[in-house]
Amino acid sequence: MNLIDLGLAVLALSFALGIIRAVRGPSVGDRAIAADLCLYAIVGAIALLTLRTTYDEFLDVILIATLLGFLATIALGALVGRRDS
Amino acid sequence: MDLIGGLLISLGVFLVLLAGIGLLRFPDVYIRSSATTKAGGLGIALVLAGTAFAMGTTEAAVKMGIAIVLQFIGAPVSGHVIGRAAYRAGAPLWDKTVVDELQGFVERPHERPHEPPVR
Amino acid sequence: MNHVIGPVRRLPHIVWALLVFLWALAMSNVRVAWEILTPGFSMTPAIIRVPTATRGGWETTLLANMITMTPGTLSLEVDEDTHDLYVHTLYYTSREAFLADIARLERTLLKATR
Repeated sequence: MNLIDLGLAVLALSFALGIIRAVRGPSVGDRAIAADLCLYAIVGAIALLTLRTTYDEFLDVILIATLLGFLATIALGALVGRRDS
Repeated sequence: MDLIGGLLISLGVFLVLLAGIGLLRFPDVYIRSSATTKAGGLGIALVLAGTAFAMGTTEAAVKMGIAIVLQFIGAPVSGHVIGRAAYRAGAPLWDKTVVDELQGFVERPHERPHEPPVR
Repeated sequence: MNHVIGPVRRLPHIVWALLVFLWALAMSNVRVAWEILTPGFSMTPAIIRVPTATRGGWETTLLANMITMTPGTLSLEVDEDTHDLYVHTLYYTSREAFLADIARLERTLLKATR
């Protein structure tokens, strides 16, 4: 078990923690934050997979995921503002 | 190169894990937002920097550099947007919050939500 | 030429502001990490109105983002007339101490932007 595998396992654990918070809520804001953290875990996992497989194409996936994550959070913020938590 | 990359990645992954634990443990949405998502964002920036170091190519350095800059622009904006929206939607503050000077500046669905509701 | 010379002349201040910001980022991360790992909470959260000397636009945005980026503080709302910020902080001791903290960050930022 090398460093990359260990890192992937830890990121998976963080993802699970984020999912627990997203399910528990209680407010929409909490779920938005949890979704944010899950996205971070996914981006980190893609970065580690790039190292593991040495497929350079994954680097573009990281770029796009970072950009989309930003836009998605703003959209979620609008949703939080509109609905009563 | 590999040593620096490994160190950055370990630290970053550790920060993301801390953010996950904090997300579960902290008592209200503002504390969760201010404490955990930024730690997670910084953690991811470190992981990306470590990846660039470990790959060691110019392409990786440039792309990860752009992703890190995006991360540093995006993380505070999304934190602010969610916190602001949560306050306006009336998400309650933790019981031990000592001062709330924002109260009265914006309209909330129910006033003083950190006190028990009057029946 | 002024718009070229200005930023170059301010370059040391810009680098210094960046370093101060990174240092604040690291220290507050350590503090929050400690809070997460040790059982029980020693937090005294508060929302404080922070008067700023920023002139709106870029400066206020940058200051609000720097405040939000450091774990433990979160700018919730901006008063668009007076450019005051409403900041949620985790470790509130006194108004003076907190305002002094923000003012230190603000001074280094304003030296870099003006």
